[in-house]
Amino acid sequence: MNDTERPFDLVVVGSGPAGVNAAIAAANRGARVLLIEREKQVGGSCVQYGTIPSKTLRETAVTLTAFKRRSGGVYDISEREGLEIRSLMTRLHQVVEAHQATTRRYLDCAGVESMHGVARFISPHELDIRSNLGESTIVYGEKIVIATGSRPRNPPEIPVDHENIMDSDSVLSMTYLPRSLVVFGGGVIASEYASTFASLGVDVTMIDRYPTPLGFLDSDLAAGFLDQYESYGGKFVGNAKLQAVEWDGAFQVVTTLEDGTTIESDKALVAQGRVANTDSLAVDAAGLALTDRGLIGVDQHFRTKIPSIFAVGDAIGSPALASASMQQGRYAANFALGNSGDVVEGATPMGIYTIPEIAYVGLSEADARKQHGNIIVGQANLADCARGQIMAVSTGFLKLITDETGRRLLGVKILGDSATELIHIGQMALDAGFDIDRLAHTNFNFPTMAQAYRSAALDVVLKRRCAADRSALSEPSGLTTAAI
Amino acid sequence: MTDPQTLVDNAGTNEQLESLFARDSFELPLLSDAASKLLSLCSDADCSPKELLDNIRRDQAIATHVLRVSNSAMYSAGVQIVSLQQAVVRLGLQRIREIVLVVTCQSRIFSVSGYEAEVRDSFKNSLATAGFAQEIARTRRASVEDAFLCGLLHDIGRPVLLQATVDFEAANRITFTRDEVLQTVETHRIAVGSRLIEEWNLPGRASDAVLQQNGSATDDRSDEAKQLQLAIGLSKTLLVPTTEDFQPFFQDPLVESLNIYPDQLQAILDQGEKILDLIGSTQ
Repeated sequence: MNDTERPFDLVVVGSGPAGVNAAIAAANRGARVLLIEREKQVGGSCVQYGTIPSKTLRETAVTLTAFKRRSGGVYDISEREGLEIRSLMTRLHQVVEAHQATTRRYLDCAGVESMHGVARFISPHELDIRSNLGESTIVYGEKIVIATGSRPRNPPEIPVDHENIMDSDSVLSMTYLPRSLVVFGGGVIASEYASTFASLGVDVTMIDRYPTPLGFLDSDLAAGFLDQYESYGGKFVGNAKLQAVEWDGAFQVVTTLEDGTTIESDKALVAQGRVANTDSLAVDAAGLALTDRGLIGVDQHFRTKIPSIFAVGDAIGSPALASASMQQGRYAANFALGNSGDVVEGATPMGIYTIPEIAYVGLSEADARKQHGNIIVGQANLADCARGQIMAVSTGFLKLITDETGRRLLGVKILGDSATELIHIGQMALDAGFDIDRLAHTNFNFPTMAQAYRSAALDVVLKRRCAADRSALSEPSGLTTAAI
Repeated sequence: MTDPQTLVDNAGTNEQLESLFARDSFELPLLSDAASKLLSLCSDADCSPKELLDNIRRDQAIATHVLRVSNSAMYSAGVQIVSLQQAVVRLGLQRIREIVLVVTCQSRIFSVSGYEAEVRDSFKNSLATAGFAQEIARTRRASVEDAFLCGLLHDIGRPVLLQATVDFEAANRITFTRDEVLQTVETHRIAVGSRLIEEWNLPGRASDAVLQQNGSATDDRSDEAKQLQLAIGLSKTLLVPTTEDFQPFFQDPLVESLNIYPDQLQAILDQGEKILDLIGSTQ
């Protein structure tokens, strides 16, 4: 038991997006909360190795490429030879420190107590917290929230050494841009890093066992990403099976595929998924067991089979998004304290920070066809928007997916600059149940990229009228128009 | 009671050494056996890049020379070379061979009469420090190449100042007392080393880490400097011939400051054999 006045109402393990939100939500309801973190600063891997650092590098890359495009050749910008990643990320420490300071301030304002160390269960209510020097402190929580996040998966067949063959936690420790980089993987993290480095002039080759990168997306989004990535000189080798990956001991990583192809590169990045940080928790001491994927099973309230223990974020698996994790943390904390509080409902947007950005919300086109049969898809090309023209945008689109009537909005997908910001209009429209005509008649600022919503909505209106006309002209036997 | 004449002599010796060590430029000498081994490798067209680089990497003086020359106007073309790997990738193996040849033929070979043991110990410690610094960086997901460089160069001031002393003694036909020399070198080696790294156009963060290699765990030095300090401590313990007691490091405030947990520290220490092999191969 704690040698303090009263035990903690809630103990949160992990200070990433899920954990911080859980802790603050609980503290704001008057609970005594303890937040445990193994790193020195709050924020978790999201702040230290992941989202914040990678998006900071990406922002610099995007700014450089956008500046070249938009300045119309007035300034001849070329990356210095020997460009250091550190110089590209001179703002990184400021950004990370600012984020940590803000998080710290919110936690302090809410009265959340914190402890630094590695936690493991010794009972359903007790955790043993070990410091760097091996000192042990036992804490008792009426309720416990596991928010330990995840780390890069290092497949056994690839010898990650964090020096020449890196994962997403170590890739930004490079102090200079390599001339060439192989990226193993075709998912979100692989694609984000591949496009960032390619846009900075690195010779990037993505290698993946699947035929295309981002294969879980609608084909137009994946193809749009691949086109742009290849325009920066990036290469994608799909349907590839690795035979061997090794550092030659001198100056290059040699990748050999089963078909005999050999690819040499200065460095390599392994981005083949993530694993939950649950293995060191000793959950069995609390009466829990991990799934065979190392995740923690929870119900719709994020409660495990042990009533005092909840789990949220990457520790429970998909969707493994910071935004979803934040909401899960708030919900779980409120529920744990007996409050109905925030109810998880409404559409969750997905944002992929490739260059260009990709975002979607609601049903994908493929899922919409499966569930609704005929659908109508309205499209606006971002290069046709006045703002797109001003920004020298040459690619990208915004699509609205509707049902057969062309009125009910089912989903939105966007490829292009600011997609991850623009998607929220679609999210609000879905949550509010707006129909297409509402979007078609909305007065957006001019010139803005948001006008693409109106253009796409008008495209839907046009297509549904055409479909209605065809239907009116159709044979009485009832030939129906195909979805456009 | 100290003999007054000795005091006068000591006072004079100090000033001369201080004045000598305050000058701007020093020569970085080579060990004769490392130089001849590399000359032989460079002359062999079939020598593997790995063997060549391993030999360069293991030798503090050669590595420093290669980096310094790589950063000269003649070779660098405006690119700052910050690691040996980068040097090989950017310049190519052929150029590296040329540079090593230049370095080994033109640089002075060590003749630090009376201080051979100190210089060899400095090289061994530097290599061990580089090895541990790499492993600490790997654990922390920090730059492994940077860490190796900092470790390798952290004591570069020592052989340079000893060589300068011996040269000065020979040129001026004077002899300083051994203790005086070693003490004065100890006082100045860090600042001189840091300055040399900067003069050789090597990364500023290496120069900064070397300059700040001593301090308290809770001060506001960079993590690179604290990492270097921990690596120095580990290497000294590794190389002490009779005892190898790493237990105190599990309570070291530096470990706490760098956020290294006991299992991670043990994994770093488990690389000790590999580091000893590395040093052994240079003997």
